[in-house]
Amino acid sequence: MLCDKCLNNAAILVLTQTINGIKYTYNLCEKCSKEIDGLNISYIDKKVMSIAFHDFLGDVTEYIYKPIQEDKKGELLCTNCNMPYSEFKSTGILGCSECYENFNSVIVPVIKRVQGSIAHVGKIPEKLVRESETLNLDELQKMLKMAIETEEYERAAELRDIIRGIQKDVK
Amino acid sequence: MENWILHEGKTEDLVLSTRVRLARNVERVPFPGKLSEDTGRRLLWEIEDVFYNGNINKEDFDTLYLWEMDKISKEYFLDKHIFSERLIENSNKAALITDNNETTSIMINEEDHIRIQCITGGLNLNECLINANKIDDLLAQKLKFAFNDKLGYLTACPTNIGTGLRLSVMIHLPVLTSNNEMTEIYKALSQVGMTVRGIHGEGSEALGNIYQISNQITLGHTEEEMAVNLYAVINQIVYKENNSRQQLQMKYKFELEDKIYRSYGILKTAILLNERECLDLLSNVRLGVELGIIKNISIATLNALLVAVQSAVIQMDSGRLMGEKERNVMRAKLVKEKII
Repeated sequence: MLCDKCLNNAAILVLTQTINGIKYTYNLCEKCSKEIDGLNISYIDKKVMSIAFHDFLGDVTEYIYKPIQEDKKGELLCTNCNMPYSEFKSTGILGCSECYENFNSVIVPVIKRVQGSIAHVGKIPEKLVRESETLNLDELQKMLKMAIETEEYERAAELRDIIRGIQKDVK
Repeated sequence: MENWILHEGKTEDLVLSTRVRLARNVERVPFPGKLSEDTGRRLLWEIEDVFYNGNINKEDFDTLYLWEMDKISKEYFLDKHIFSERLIENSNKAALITDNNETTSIMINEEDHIRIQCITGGLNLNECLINANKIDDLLAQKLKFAFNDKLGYLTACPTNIGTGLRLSVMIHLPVLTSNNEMTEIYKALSQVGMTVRGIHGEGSEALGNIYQISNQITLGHTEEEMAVNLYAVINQIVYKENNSRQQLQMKYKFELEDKIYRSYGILKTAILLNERECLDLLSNVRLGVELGIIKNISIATLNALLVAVQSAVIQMDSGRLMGEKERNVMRAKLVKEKII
């Protein structure tokens, strides 16, 4: 899929926003996704008026790192462990923790079918809890910006979750 | 925690043991199925290092490396429910850390990198859960577990995702089995996200009328909610079994006592006992003890026999491989020593 913004490069990121109950989805390439980090979200601004950065991080927004890597036959591959999705279909076992991100669009319906739910409400690793208690919001936002700049999407997603948790507590 | 075999318990409870399992994986490292021997062992040593340097009593624990073990030893631990088939399949990169009491253990490089297991006697979901959580917190201080805020702990199979928690209760249900009520129970339990398995776990049949009842769904509920749900289900099944037992005693008192005492008699006198027959007879005697008909045998003795009469355990205790006939002789001899 091509990037919605530049229409030049392949999209690697899907940004979904729900504003006043209306869902907006953007497919963005690596270059354009970098441009919307921090406060520079001018493209989004054109489409949806006045979305502040904290909203971008908040409950109404989520972004999912989407796998575009495919092998020669056009099959879905995990970018971390190189396992093809077809292998999961035959064994029911995934290759690594990143497969859940990389096969997100196809694996979530499977999970929903098996588990009847896709919302974890149980235990959270202590380290994540502690991290969110000790760092303040400004520091976390700086770290998030840095993570996006250095293309550490994993870390960025993690930080986004922590920030989201703090914001929820504040509310 | 108490080793379940030694657990005397209240006879009317019918629950032999409670088991809790937590599945955890280290972020980004391929799951054991995709791990080379080299990387697998390196991860194993890292996990071991974190564990032994944590806040535990080191002398209480020991590590077994599966690549150093022979076939009989592995089957012995399999029969004792401490190893799983999958752990044995991954022998070249798998290990087990276990305490002296065999109540707390960690399987490394089974289907997931880490599987924390706690087993205790009777219906003790909370005690097991607290214990397993302690080990989990200890490991999480140094290891970065694969975790996602929506999907929870990420596991090799999506059926374990979320809490990674499997709560399992081993229960003796002879009368519901003979009344052909188990199929109904299977159906009812699957509707509430629970499952019934045999004595040897997934896919195995219920030898000796002993079943393992556990949660199938691991996502969308808190650990405590899951424990409460299983507790409620077990209580209901115990109530049903006890009810059926009462009716049986009222309607067929002599037939029931005859069956129990005949089984007792065979166990005391047989020269050859195969595993299936032995477990069936032990189930009848257990029923007799639970109903107060047989008074001179303890539940702990029956628990010990339940493990001791399994083929691999017989061979391990004798220190050599045996043919089927020799095992049957040994099994009968073992039973006679315990059941007087």
